[in-house]
Amino acid sequence: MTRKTVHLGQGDERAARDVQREIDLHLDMRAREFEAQGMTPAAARQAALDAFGDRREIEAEVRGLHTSTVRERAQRDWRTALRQDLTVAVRGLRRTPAFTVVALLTLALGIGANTAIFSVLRPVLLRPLPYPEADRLVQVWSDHRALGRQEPEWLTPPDFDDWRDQNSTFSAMAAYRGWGPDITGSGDPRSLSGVAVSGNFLSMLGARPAVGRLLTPADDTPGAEPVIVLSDALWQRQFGGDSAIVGRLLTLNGEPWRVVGVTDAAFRPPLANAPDLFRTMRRAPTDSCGRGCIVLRVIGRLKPDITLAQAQGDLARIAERQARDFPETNAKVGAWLVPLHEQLTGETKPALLALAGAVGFVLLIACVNLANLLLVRGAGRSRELGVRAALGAGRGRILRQLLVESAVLAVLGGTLGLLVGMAGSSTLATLVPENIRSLGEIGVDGTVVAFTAAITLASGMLFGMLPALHAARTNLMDALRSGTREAGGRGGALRSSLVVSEVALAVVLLVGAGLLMRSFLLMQRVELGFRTDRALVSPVFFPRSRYEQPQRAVQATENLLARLRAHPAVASAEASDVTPLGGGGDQDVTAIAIGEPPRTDGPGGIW
Amino acid sequence: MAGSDIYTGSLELLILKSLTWGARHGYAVGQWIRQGTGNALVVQEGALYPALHRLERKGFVEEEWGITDTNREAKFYKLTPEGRKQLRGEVARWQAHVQLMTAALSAGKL
Repeated sequence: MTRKTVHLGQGDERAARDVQREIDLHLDMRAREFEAQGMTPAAARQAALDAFGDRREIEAEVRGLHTSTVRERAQRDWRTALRQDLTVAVRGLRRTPAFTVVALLTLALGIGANTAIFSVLRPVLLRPLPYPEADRLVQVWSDHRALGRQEPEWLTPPDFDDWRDQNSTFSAMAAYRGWGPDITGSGDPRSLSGVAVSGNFLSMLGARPAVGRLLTPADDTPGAEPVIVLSDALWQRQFGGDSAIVGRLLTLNGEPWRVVGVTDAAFRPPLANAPDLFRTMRRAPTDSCGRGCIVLRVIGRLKPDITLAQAQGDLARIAERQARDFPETNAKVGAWLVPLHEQLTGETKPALLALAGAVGFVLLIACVNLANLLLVRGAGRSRELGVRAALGAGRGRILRQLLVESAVLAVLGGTLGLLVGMAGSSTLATLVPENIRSLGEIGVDGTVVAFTAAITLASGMLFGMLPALHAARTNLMDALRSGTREAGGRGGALRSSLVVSEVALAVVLLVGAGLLMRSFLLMQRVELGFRTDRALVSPVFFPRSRYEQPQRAVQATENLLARLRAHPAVASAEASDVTPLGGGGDQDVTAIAIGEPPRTDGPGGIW
Repeated sequence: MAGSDIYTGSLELLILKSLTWGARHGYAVGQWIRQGTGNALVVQEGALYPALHRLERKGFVEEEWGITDTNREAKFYKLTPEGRKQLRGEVARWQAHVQLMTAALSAGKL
């Protein structure tokens, strides 16, 4: 019989001794029985041994049984000790409520802030865009920097055609532009937010139809029937998710459009505002809108193994050719590619990273703070721990006791932090721009909870380990001798270094916050070239169905402005189809009224 | 207790049965088995002890230190409630098994 050599603990030795005594007793009594039958003592002894069998093998077998029992018992003991530690820890924390509340609040805020930021950061920065092979999608801009325009520009339709047809680095290129149709004939007339796309737009982004079909390049020819695809949101909202919608005619801007399908609920186009519906452009190659007409936004999909730089060079060559062929419109115009992910998250990314760094520092400071508090607490309890050590608690046992205490703090703080994080996450979600929010759900899910658990654990180790090691080391030697007096100079040095690092962290955080604040203030003070105080703006829609002739819309605007100007609270009122710095011009009919109430008047009662 | 080794199984069954009259030490258990089975079953008396310790590990018996008739300190074994339950179940199964075997083997002629 082979058996692994096992280290025999106290329990094993006892079991081995017990078996020996049992067997001795057995053999003695059996021998006595044989003697009673008339054997000599020696013969009786031998007979008892023969009847018994191999004593050593049997002893070994019983010991083997008990070795595993001992292991189980050790586990049981360990669990019991842990329960004891937990009870002692909870009792200790309840005895010092002020410390506990401060520690838990510190942790809850630190962990909560990190949880909230992570919940926003993850969909924005860590998850890929919700499209197949999203890393090969790029936003295609035309580059007017040589003409003094620092911002990337949209494309003209003829340029888009050239780039799409002449490139060798893109497997697809799709264009889109805003479209704001008014719907009539199904409920109240209302303005919808739509987008006019090239025929391959939806398929390039991997959209799938929930019912019916998607738009195809065949729909995108001047002679094709006017067809539209609805978003899932509009389909549910306006038509109750009824699949009989496919084939129906909707009246948009007074014209009939046939619904051919609905995109599935998961599809979100990479646009600032989630559109209600899609149509094709049905643009003639000889569109009146020529090379001076910058109206198209373009997304391309790179071929496999093509780098951004290769595609950039490819399009630059086409742009050069265009500049030669059409010097009036295309001189000094280049191509400008931006990965789609960067395009959508670029503006939010530095802010989020700065926030993440800031909350990381906050948590670090919280940990250092807690370590300090625990150290002070440890010094106060050195006598208690010293007594325990003197009573036979090993260093490991005391260390574990202290670590269990900080683990309890960490877990409680982490749980509170998760609650804080959930609240913070939903607040942050409303502050994030809509195109970012559409990239993926912001919220606390399994991954975020796992993240919270991880930082809770890390925090617990961070703030618990140093004070525990320190307490376990000093107490054995000094505590009893020095009584409640602080043990040794090491604690002082440790605390000083903790304070130093805490101050350093705080300074970093303060400087960071100061810089953020400064850029925020600078942004507030940017000279816009006009005054924004006491100015109000309101969009007004004139549906074509009711204002068939443009003159009637103009007339209505004039009437509205005249009535506004007559109002005592309004200093002046004007209309425009774009707001200053607001972009726009996408929508077919948009009028904006701006009023400025005089300073003497209180707010309200204007509109 | 049902195992491939019917000998082990029946030995443990006999041990449990022997303890229904109260706590006994190992030797007394062995003695009861020898007398109860007419010295036929127990080949090696030592096999009793691993079986006793196995039962103890399973929680069917528990140890109790006591004094023997000859005034020696010895480890006594006592049936636990689980042990009693186990015994009842195993006895029923044993009897059913024996009945089935008997019925099957006594059919027809040899």
